[in-house]
Amino acid sequence: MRSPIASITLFLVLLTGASPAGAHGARVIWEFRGDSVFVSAAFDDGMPMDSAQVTVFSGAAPSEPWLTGFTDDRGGFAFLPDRSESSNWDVQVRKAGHGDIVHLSLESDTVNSGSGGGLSALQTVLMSACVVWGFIGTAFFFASRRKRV
Amino acid sequence: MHIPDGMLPGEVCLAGFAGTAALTWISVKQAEKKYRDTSRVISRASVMAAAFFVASWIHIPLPPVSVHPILAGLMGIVLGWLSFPAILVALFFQAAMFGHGGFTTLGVNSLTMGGSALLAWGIFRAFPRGSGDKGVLQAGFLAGFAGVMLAAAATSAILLLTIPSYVDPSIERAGILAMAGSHIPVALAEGVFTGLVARLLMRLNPGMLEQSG
Repeated sequence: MRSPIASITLFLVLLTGASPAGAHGARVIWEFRGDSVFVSAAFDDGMPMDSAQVTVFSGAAPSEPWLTGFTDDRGGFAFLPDRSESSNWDVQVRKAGHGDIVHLSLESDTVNSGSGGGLSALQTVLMSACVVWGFIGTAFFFASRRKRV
Repeated sequence: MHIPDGMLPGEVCLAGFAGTAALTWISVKQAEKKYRDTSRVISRASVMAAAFFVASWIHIPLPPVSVHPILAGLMGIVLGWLSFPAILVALFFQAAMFGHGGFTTLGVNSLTMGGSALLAWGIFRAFPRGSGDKGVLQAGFLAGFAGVMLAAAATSAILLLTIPSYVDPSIERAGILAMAGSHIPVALAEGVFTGLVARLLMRLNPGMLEQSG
């Protein structure tokens, strides 16, 4: 058993190192452009989410869409929020069941991202390697315990 | 294939967790009943969970989305009942580390992918034993192919049934169907891969294939 596990371990480590830094989740970021809010959506392999459906929710009525629209060819979408209505907004970008929701605070002046990540390639590879090592370590633990019994 | 947070209504997410809890319990009980020494199969499950975790990083752009290997069929034929909890653990780490999938949708994603692994295993077992290299190759191919297509069909069905009223249903529907269709090449590739792996294991170490319930 040990030999197949070692071979698979080597295969997985090589695969982790060689694979591109990104999966097919979605990453949505937003920033101020003047008074407007600009939202940019991409799959996290970098492919823009063009023609994705965008729904904007105001913090004053979070279950009712305040604005709907589509991203452009580059996955961009801009809108002018009504600051008198709320300073908190949610924007959902959705395409074929993929997408993300970002929370916007108009009191913030920084670029923000949704849950999609923002990790560097090195971080991604290191994190993947750590998880894979955890799985492989578990396998070795049980394999060696069985041999001792 | 991984449904992210915010895409499904709360009731569907809760139902997904309930179904996943039930299937996990059944799977673990069945595995305990089958193996006197579970350490043998736990070590195998850990390695396969790592493979499932890593496989989602190989992405192939097939517009409108990018697709990745799923390995549900391979998980099924190598792990049997334990394929479901192994996929659940791998999906948890994918969501926790990279936001791939989501925590609220973990139950639903486990059901679509883990359930497909169990069904693919059922297809593999349906082939008569002793049918030789060709039979194992065919059974492995069907299991690998079905693992992907069943997961794609289940994911698409859930997404189609839960399209929110505030999005254009025709556009979303077309996107979801295109997403499902873009998994056909993946299913064919995984079918070939799973068939070859099944044949290799049958020659080298038949004990690693779960051919009985």
